[in-house]
Amino acid sequence: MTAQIRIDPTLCRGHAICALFFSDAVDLDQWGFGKVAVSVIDSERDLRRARRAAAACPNGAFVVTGADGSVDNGARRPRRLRVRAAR
Amino acid sequence: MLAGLLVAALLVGRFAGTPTQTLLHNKMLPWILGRSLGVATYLSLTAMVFLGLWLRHPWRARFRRPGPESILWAHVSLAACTVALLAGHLTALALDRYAGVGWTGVFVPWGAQYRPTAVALGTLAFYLLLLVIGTAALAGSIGRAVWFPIHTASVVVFCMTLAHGVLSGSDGTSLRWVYVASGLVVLTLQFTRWLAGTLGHGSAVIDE
Repeated sequence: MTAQIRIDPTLCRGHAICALFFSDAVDLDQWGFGKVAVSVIDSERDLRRARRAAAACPNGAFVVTGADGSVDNGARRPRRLRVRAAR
Repeated sequence: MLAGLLVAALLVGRFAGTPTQTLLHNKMLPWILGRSLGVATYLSLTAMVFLGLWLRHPWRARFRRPGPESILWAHVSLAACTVALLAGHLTALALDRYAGVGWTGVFVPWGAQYRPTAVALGTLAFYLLLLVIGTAALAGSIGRAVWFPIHTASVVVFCMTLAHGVLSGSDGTSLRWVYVASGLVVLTLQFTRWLAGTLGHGSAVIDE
């Protein structure tokens, strides 16, 4: 059961909101730009937190990639997605 | 130890007891509370807006402390603090019989007998603030397309609150410099941030 998260450095503007929603997986540098500390998610709870962080990020820099390859950068209203088993 | 406590109790009673008694039995208590909570709300709102603007201001890169996470937590905490103080401000003024604001004046724009337009500015700012804070609290659920554009109205809330304080406050003269200084700081921060974004230097601070 895996999904992956990453922060697009070209889009991140240092709002630091991802750290507010998913502090366990995100480290901030001194300017507030996020770095992913834990990139692999293996629980539904963490996936929900990641999707909330993606939805809240004002620049769409926080990206969640599901095991099926679906990409969520919060552009649409987050759906209740399941973490699927990795192939 | 006991003697120390006794002395402390006597001193507190001597210096705080009489003014507190006078205040508690004052018929103007709701008005005094309403005004003081109004000023406290304004100061909390100013600090909240300041931190929100500072969080993504290009000048912040020159300062290592406080870090962005601390600023964000302080910003969120101040939002809760502002709402609590605002609830006290509105309740005190609604219960007050001296100024003639009442429940209608608090919740209905231009419903107050006391300086209707000045109070209406506060009422409208209150509704806008609820919208800004409510959508921010739901940011992870409703998505950035909704919450972030609404969040940029925070400066409008600040300007309306500033005008409300200046025009409706009976102590406007004594607080003049507080209003001038806070207004200048927030508007300067907003203008310079907008200027940096417009000129395209907003994200260039990482290269410094």
